[in-house]
Amino acid sequence: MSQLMEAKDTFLSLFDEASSDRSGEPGWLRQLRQNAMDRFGEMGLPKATDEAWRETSIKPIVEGTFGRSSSSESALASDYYYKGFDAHQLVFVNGRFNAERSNIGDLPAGVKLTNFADAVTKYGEMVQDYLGRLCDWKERSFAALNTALAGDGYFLHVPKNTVVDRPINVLWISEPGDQAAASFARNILIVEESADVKLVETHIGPQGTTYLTCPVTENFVSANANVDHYVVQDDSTKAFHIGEQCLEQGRDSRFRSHTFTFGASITRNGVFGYLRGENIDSILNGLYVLRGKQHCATFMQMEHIAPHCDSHELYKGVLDEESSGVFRGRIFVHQTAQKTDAKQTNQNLLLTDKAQVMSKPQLEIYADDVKCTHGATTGQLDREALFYLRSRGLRKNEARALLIHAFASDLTERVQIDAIRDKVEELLWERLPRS
Amino acid sequence: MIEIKNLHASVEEKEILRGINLTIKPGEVHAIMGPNGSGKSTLASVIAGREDFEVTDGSINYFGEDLTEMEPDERAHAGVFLAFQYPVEIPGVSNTYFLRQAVNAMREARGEDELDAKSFLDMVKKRAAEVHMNPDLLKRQVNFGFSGGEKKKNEIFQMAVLDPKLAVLDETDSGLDIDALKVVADGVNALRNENRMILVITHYQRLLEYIVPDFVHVLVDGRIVKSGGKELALELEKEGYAELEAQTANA
Repeated sequence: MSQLMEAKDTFLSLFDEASSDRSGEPGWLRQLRQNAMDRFGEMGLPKATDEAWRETSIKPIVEGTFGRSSSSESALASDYYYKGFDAHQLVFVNGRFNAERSNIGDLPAGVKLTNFADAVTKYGEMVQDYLGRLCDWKERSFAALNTALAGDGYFLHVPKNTVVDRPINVLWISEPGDQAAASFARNILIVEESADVKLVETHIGPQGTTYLTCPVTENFVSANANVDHYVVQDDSTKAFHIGEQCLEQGRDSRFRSHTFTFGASITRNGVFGYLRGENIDSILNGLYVLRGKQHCATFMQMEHIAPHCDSHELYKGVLDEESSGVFRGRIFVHQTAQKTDAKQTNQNLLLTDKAQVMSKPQLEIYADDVKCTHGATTGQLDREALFYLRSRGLRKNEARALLIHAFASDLTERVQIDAIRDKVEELLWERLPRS
Repeated sequence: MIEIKNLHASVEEKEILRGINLTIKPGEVHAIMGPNGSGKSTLASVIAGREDFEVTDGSINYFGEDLTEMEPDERAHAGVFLAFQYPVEIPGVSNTYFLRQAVNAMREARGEDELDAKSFLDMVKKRAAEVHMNPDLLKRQVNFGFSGGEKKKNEIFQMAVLDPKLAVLDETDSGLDIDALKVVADGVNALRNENRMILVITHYQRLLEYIVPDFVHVLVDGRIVKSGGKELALELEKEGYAELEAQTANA
């Protein structure tokens, strides 16, 4: 218990240290931060007995000390991580916007794309209107921490009927130096009626470094808008990544998200979706490829509030060595959400006897005319398929790699942006066992 | 040449093969017939090197090498091919990609350069034509969603592409309608030549009307109890296995 208290104090003092950063902020924001910090003070960090955290030990985070990194420079910032990716680029280093390395370029008229701090200054009213509307910081410790300590993330507003052709890439680089650092990116994405945008959130850090990154994105997708959303997480395997995507969709809108998790020692991907209008299409896909003692937990909650909405989730895991995975998904169909078509699938491939996974897709249905299914499978490589491939001349490691790749390619193939698909393919091949 | 001598093999400590003797020379087609549970598919599996099958006695001499000491992929590199009784579905892998990996693995093992994409496709199309296979099969995922007939055709097609020295066809005819059977048999016949050894394992005499073997062996209870020419198949068709099984039981 005392350790939890100490850890809490670490974050409380982080808040105090940052007070000078906040001095120029508007009163409403300072108040929001203070309220969120007070709430965090009441809740503390998640305990091992909390249902939502039962399978995810945050002990290493509790035991760590995380300061604030002053550096906004990184050697990794010299390229944009992807090859040949023609995108509007925003770069953050250790949670700070790096204007020099960023290359936002020309955007269609009316599109607002900037960093959080700048948005507070320039578009204060809009930020006030949206910030914290979807992210339930009163209920979740890390969401409260993020709200209190919200540092640089992106702010994107795409006006009605506007199509942003080139994708937007937001690259967070954590390179804390000697001292482990914590960063709390807070992102707001507002896509107005019939607008269209593709956005990539990318998280990287040098191997071997320890840091804590807690990004939160609030996605507001208005009627008939279309959003392709990607998260590529390739953090240091000693880092901790506790992230959250909050989503609200209006009628006839489409949101397709793809979350790729390769890095971090402990990853938690929270997804909280609210389907508020009719005829929404929401597709959430995820792939986690883990080895060593990596842990990745997906915690998802989708609420169907209006009729005729589809939500399809496909999450796959490849777990090697002593890694572990958790999938907890819950689709909640309100009584008003007739004709819901919801499908939640979690499939895991365990490559060793020591890898483990806990999968629990759940449905909670209060409407009577719906089509809802969920399923989870966990298995090992098919021995007969391995023999089949070897009998055709493929060596054992080639046969294994081919089968693992086939399992995962289901998700990599859905990526619509070539540079992103090439990168996740590359990361996948890199991680396939060679022995 | 493959020379199987006094081969004993077990699965989960249960002895299935109990002293098989069989020699196949280049250019020959041998058929093995036998009732269910006689060990036909076990023999095919042992030749191809399937795990779980333990050779407890005897030997398989394959061009001077001990086949039983080789990994399944090494056997493939040495020219052994097994057409599976139940070809495996591999969703997510295209037939083209799979075959190219296989062809290049073989070439690498022989110290040859990889085939580039174009030469590979040219070769594959040529082979597809030789065995009358629809090249559209190439675009599909390996056996995924294939009908029973398509799966068996795909095996013969792979055999044509991989050009083995020894092909073992494990009940390739089972469950096929007559049209599919003819396609499969025509494919195999097109691949017969003076260098290739073919071992056809079947439950039904009908296949042997289309693939006419040089030798027929009857396998009962893990042993070859009778060998002869192609006429032996007809004899079996008339009399059935019952008498042979009875003789074995008394022996």
